[in-house]
Formats: sequence, C-alpha cells, structure tokens
Amino acid sequence: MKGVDLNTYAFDWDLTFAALLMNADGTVYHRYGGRSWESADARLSMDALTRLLVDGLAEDKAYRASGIEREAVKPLSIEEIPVFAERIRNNKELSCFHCHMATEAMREQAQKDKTWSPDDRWLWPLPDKLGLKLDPADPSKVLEISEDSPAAKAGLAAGDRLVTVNGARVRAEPDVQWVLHHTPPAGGTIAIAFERGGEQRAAKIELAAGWKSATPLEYSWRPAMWMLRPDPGFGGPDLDADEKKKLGLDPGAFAIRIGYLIDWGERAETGRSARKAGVQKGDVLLSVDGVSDFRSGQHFQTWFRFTREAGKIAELKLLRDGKPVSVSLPILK
Amino acid sequence: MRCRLALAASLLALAFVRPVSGDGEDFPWLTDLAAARAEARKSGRPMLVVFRCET
Repeated sequence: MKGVDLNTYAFDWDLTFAALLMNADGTVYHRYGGRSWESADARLSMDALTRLLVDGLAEDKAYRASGIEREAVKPLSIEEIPVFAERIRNNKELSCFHCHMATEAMREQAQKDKTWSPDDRWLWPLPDKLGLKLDPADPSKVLEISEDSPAAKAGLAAGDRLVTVNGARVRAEPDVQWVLHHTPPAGGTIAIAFERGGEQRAAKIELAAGWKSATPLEYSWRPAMWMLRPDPGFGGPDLDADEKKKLGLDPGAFAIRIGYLIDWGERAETGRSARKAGVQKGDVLLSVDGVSDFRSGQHFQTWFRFTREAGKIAELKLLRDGKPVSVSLPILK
Repeated sequence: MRCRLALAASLLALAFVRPVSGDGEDFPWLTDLAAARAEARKSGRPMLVVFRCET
C-alpha cells in the first residue's frame, strides 16, 4: 500500500482481491471484490468480472463524451496517517504495508483523536444486510430476499434486476456496498431503481437505527477483528474431524487447540494473565461462558471481542489430555 | 499474520476483455500504479487496478 492514495482508491482494504475499474483522472466507475465468513472467494466470479469489464468500457466511453471533470480529492497515503508514520519511524524493518493495515491505521488514528465510535467497525456492509442476496455470477440480479427484511418490506423479489442504488449504477456487489458504507448506522432510506419483467420500477428501503451492526460470525473474516478489544490472550487452530473423533467430540462441535498464549508486544499481559489463570498451550477449548456454537476459532475470537467485557471473568471449559478442566479467565482491558 | 500483497494495473481495451491463455505474459499488467495512470492518461484508456492481499 506504499504511496497508494486511500481517498482515490477507496475500498474495503480487508479484502483479499480488490479491483477498481477507473480512468486516469481517478474517477472510479465500479469496484469489484468481496468476501464473507463463508470463504475468501465466496463472492467472486469470473463471469461477473468479465461482464463488468465489458459494460464498464461502454460506461467509460459515455463518461469521456460527457465532458464531466472529476472533483479534486486531497490525497492520503497510509504513510501520512500519523499513528502509522510513527510506527514506521519506530520499526525500520516495516517495509511492506499490507492492505488491511490501512483499515487498522485509520481506526487507530480515529481512536487516538477520540473521533472513533464502536459503530465505525461496520465497514462495507454486504447487501445481505438489506435482506438481498445477489447472484455472484450476475450481481445486479436478486437471487433471494429474506423474509421480513427491509428489502422484502420495500417490495423487492427474487428475479428483480437492480439498476441503481441511490442513483449509482449497479454492476457489482460493491456498488451496493459503497452506498451502504456511506449510510449512517442511525438509519436512512435507500432508493432503488430496478427491472421486473421488462418494466422499470422503483422502491425505497427503510433502514432502522442499528441496521449496520454485524454479528460476530459476519465480522469474523476481517483481519481488522484481531485489533479489537478485549481479547482472550490466546488462540490456535480449529481441530479437524480426526482430532475431534479421537476426543469423542461431535464432528460439528466447536473445538480449538490452544497453540499460543500471547507473550509478545503490547498485549503480552493478556497471555500472562491467561497462563496464570490456568490456561495451557495444548489445551482444547470447548466453550466460554456456556457458549459453544462457534463455527470456527475466528468466530470465537470475534464473539469474545464483541460480547465480553473487560474487568469481568470468562468461564472456560477445556480438555487437557482428554479430561475436562475449568478455568476462570479474568478479562483484561 | 502473513500477508502477500501484489498490485497490478492494466489498461483496458475491448480485445483484452477475454480469458487469458497460458501464463498471461501477453496481458499488459503494470505493477507501478503511477506509471499505469500516466499511460492511461496518454492513451485515453480506462484501467483495472487490482490489489491482492492474502490474510
């Protein structure tokens, strides 16, 4: 991300594949890329990208013919964010600036400036938040509408084709995400133009306060999750089916083997505290405060950060050498 | 957490919007964003800018 202007190339920097269809003056026609807790590429399709490029060329031609000039935007690189600039000064070996570091640096800076609120976690919401499931291979087409969702209440149905969202042309899922990203958590109205059976129609989706909040599972894939607090101070890989079988666990049960207790950096105290409470490397974690319906270790880690409170105790159920062990873990700030 | 980042930008023309055969050597990807933007400005063609990060 060295030198990349985060204002011009604005996108969800937690993605593994982020593409922008744009022109030399910095006008972004469309973004392409997507990810969910299901997998890193669950929202990607070569057919969709090819269609986007073909349609995007026509859009570029029309834009150039229009004579519109892009408004100048003040550039901002990751190196110019003060907290990140300080990190570079303090760590001469830091030479590769990963995409997700941009998200993290902006959040850290906002926290330092006291302009951050917990609602700022909700980045680039998927259309699923409206109850809209779009076709990954043909992203303007609605595949499913969730019952009682804001999209269902607005009258949208499976098979509809989105044309614009708040006036922006929809050719890829991030076109909807862009609008949602800029809609406040307090709620709002999203204007949809769509086609049904060759007819042009319009709908308004009403979003209530709190609409933007993600569940721990929805958020669990984001690298930015790891920087949220409080954290348990330990972690490790999910057990595979064979390991679970050997321990007499259900194949679908949550179980992670504790592979590390944090003993480095600013959070070393959390690992020391977990060790002192009785957590050991090699233990298998089965539940926390009676909750065990986690899909993965990352889901557990996100849930812990979203729902546990610093200053309280988390009750862990573990297996050690196949035998049950209970640990009361103090949750640090 | 290990992360591998690659950035590439390609100038688009209709002929390029098709599957690329072999290892894609015939596909004009540029890895210098400023150079790609300058080339796009000169040629009047749009760009596809791709960021790739494995986390």
